[in-house]
Amino acid sequence: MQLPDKFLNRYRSIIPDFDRFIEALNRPLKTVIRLNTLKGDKEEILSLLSDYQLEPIPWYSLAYRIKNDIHIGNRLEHFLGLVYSQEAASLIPPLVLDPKPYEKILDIAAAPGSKTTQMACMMKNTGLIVANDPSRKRLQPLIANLDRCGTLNVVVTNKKGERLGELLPGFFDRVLVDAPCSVEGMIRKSSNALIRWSESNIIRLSMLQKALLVSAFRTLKPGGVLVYSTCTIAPEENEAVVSFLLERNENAQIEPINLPGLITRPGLTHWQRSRFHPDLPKAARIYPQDNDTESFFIAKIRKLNWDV
Amino acid sequence: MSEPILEYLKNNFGINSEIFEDLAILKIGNETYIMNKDAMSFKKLKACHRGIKLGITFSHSLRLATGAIQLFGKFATKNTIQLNYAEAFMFSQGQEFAPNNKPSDNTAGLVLAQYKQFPIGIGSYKEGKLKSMIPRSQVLRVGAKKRRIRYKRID
Repeated sequence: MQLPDKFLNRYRSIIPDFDRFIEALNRPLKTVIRLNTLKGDKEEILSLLSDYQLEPIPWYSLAYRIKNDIHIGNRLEHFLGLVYSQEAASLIPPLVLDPKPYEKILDIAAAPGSKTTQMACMMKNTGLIVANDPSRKRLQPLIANLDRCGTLNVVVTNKKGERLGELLPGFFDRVLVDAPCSVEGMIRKSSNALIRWSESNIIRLSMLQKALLVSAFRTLKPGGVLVYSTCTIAPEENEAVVSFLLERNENAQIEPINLPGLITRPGLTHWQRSRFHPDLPKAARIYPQDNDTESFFIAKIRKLNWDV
Repeated sequence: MSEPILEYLKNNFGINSEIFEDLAILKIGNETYIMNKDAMSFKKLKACHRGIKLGITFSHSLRLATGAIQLFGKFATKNTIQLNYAEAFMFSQGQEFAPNNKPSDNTAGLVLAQYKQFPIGIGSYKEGKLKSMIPRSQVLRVGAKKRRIRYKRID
């Protein structure tokens, strides 16, 4: 399979070290596992993985890249819910959101539950996570993963994310918007990622993402934190969406992202004829050539508390 | 907390009900779910699912959910059986086999199978044979690894 010319030409100017980017796409992506500490402590679980050649993921102490050929889905430890296969870049949005025990969290597009279960671990099964997904079909794998991981603090809902702002205004301490996207960042993993790729699809998704982000921001308490992420490269689905929110909400402030061991590139300030909010460089672009991951975009936004 | 499944866990596996004190039980039809109290008290939206399934009760019996057993089974103090890795794997696949060890209480009937300190699920032990009772829809299935497709630059 070949990468479309249109795709390559579109991003040549914005992806740093473009040749290295293409090279990285051709390198096999190693499986990454996250240890599920809801079912055992780190050392106990690691003691089961003696035949794994594990390389720690620098930005998360409970995640490892598997260097030898192990199909994790066939393994007992996976069946027992002790490990969860999750791409290394996909670990980052919950880490940036940093949910604390006893808080109220919204995961607005939760299926299949990788980030939801990671957050449940971080919260030690306390507090509340509302794991929403608008697709009824995607709830089944979400619920199966929640059961397998032993999450006791998750409520699954099946609403359009765009409506949650009016239904639950100012309710959550933290909100994760891991938005549905054109999945350009997944091309290293799946040959199907670009099958439906088109600029018109990017524009369509961008409109949905803006509606989701505005709604999600509304559900946030004053002082609360929201993380917006996608696994795509298109600025229309990333900087343009965050810029849309920042320009319309004076109480929305983007904050820098610093995770030790993670190489990030700044968000863009312009793309084609669009200019974005001047704070967008505080958002993070993640590329495969930097961290041996998929591509990702992450922005951390705080809802300012005007009363303080 | 008075709940038939919790009584069952206590009577059959010695899992003390006190460990569930900070949790909440929800019954929907014949299915029972367990969750923390915050998840139980969230009523602002219609929920499709809360916490994890604890089990299903029938008129004269009940079936414990595998996910719940894997979470709470570590508190079991009786009727457990310790499996080695190969046995644990077969058990997870829903098989019947003759394990090396006998149940902790050396009696026939339902036992909680464990690999090291990790509970796997419920099985039936009779005449030296252990039959996994993990539902067929949930058993460990060993499949082939997907092939990877290479990309190339085409400019």
